[in-house]
Parts: sequence; structure tokens; C-alpha cells
Amino acid sequence: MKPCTDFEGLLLDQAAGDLAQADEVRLAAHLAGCPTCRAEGEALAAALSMAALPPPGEAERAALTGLAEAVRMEQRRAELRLRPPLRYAAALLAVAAAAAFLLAPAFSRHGPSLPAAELAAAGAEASEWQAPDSDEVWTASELASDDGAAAAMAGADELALDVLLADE
Amino acid sequence: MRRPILVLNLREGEGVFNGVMVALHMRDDEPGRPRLTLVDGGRTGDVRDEDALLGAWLVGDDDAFGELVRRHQPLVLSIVRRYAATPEDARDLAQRTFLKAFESARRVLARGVRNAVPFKRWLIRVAVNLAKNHRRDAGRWSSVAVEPEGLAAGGPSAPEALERAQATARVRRAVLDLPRRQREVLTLRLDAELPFAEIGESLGITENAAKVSFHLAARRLRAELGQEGA
Repeated sequence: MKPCTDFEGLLLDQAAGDLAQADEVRLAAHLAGCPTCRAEGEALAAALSMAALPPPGEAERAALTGLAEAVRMEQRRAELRLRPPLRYAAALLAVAAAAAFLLAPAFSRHGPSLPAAELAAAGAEASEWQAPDSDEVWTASELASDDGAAAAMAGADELALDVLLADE
Repeated sequence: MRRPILVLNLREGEGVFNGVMVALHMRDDEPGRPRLTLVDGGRTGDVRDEDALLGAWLVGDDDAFGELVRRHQPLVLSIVRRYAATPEDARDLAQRTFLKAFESARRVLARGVRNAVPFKRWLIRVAVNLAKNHRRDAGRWSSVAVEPEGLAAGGPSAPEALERAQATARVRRAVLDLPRRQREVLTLRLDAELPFAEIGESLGITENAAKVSFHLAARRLRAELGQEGA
């Protein structure tokens, strides 16, 4: 049998533990004289009692031990996972620095640099050098010492003079 | 070192955070970890308001974080355990619930939202959603919690006890088969023992809608029990 329509809502409120104080007396008075609603109320209470879970057991409570620390640790891991761009940026900078060190000489405007010892020796040589005497250089040359060649040159000059005189 | 997520406009001293008077202290034992305590209305640091705890966590106070988790872990467990196959499963769901709720809280508070949803409501919403997804993903239509102790153990029992255990298992399975809204309202009421007003706020429905869903669910379970008895 179905419960009385006017009281069905109150029966459900009672089963939910949400019956208003003002309705408690009214429902109690009705239940005292209505076995159908009483049976329905008991059946609802039984169904909800079966549906409810028993309190957590020892194993369930024990499983929560250290939960706060575990959550905090997982949070820190998640924060670190969010930072790979920084790690990649650092690695890229390192690679770029190494590449620049290796490739810089190839792009330099000056020639390859000499070792320091060679540079010092070249500097010392430069400071000792003196301009040669031009007379000494002339007399030392083959042209100055070749008498035949000098005579040929002198003969050529005379011939040229003769040509000029003849034209006039 | 943690990045500063939230600017509190507080150096050492007192100030207002989310409408709550708080004080920021630098700790002597750990200089890098400031501590935020509640100073509103003469309440001591032992009874720390939830907003103040959240604020303290955001500036790196691990004690505040631990207190928030410990304060709410029974509630979270009560919501997720119905969907968990083992206690370890329940712990995993609880851990994921806290992680997601804290992540949401950080995002919202970092945007400077005032009067944000209370942390407890976040937790309830996240726990309900995770539990629902867990059930769907795992394809578990029953769990350890569904099976009454006597029936699960399979030990010898009186015929009445066995009959009751069978009826209980049937009703608990019927809970998992309820339409989503009815199931959420019923379990938040039965398992987490929340008032209908809070259930409504957590699920984004009115208190009256929550009551109606509960009534519909209770009628279905009553019908299930009636079939069992027939």
C-alpha cells in the first residue's frame, strides 16, 4: 500500500534526518494512527541505513597516514615539472657558449694569431733594423760592377744625340 | 625556493587578507619560511581561519598546508571511499583530490579573486568529480565498501544475517546505479553527513533541489529493498 500523500514528504524528510521541528509532532500523531505510513517510514529508514557505509575501518584510517606530507611532496614534484623551460634555457646557453668558443677564430677579421714567443722575437728584429746606405746598395749591385753594360749605356746616349743633331 | 604567487602587501606585521586580519612573521628557525597567523577577534593562532591558512600556504607555510589537509581528510575520505576498491585506492583518490583543490585555490587566489569559493566546497566538488571519473575509468560497478563485512568475508553466519547482508549489498549497488545528481546528493548526505544547504552550494544547485534529489533517490532505494523482500 502507498503512504498517505500528505505525509509522504514528511516521511522522506524524517528518513533524511531533516524533519522540521514543527512537523515532528504532526507526523508523530499521524503515524500513531496510520500503520501504512509507519511501515513506509520504517522501510525508508531501513533502505537508507543499508545504503550508508559503515564508519572507516582501521585499514582505511591507516592508509591516510602521512597524507599531508605525500600531497606536499607531489606538489613540489609538479612545480619542478613546470620548470623545464628554465632547464632547457640553461642547457641551450651552455651549448651556445661552447659553440662560440670553438667557432670564434673562423670568423675573426685578423689572421691567425702567432704564439707569444714568435711575436716577441719579431718585435726585437724590427727595433734593430736600420735603413741601408743607397751608395753601398748601388755599388754592391751587378749593374754598377759590369763595365761593359755601363759603356753600352754611354754609347746609346751618344747615338741619340747624333740623331737629334741630324734632324736639325 | 618557492616563487611568490600572491602579493599580500604585507611585510612583517599585520594586514588584511581576504577580509581576515592576519600577521606575517619571519620564522627564526627557518628564515626562508614566513608564517601567517590570524589575529582577528582575539582568536589565537591555534584556531586558524581557513582563508588565513590558505594565505599562509601560498606564502610557503607548510604547517598551514598540513593543517588544511588534516582538517579535511576525514571529509574527503568519506566521499571517495564508496568508489574505492581498496584503502590504498581511497588514499590515492584523496591525494588527487587535495592536489587538484590546492591547484585550483592557487590559480584563483593568484588572480586576486576576493570572496572566492570556500576551500571546503572546492574539496567536495573535486572529490565528487574524481570519484565519478574513477568509477567510470575503472569500470568498477561495485567496490569493497559496497560489500557488507559478513558477506565479503564469506564466513558462516545466521540465515537472517546473510539475508540482511545480501539486501545491504543490493541496496549499495543500487546507490551506484542512481542517476548522477541523485547519487551525489545521497552520498554527500549519507556518507559525508553534510546539510542540504551545503550540498546544494557544493553541487551548484538550490537547497530545495538537493532535497528533491535525495527524496527521489530514497524512493528508488526503498523500491529496491521492496523487490528484495518480495
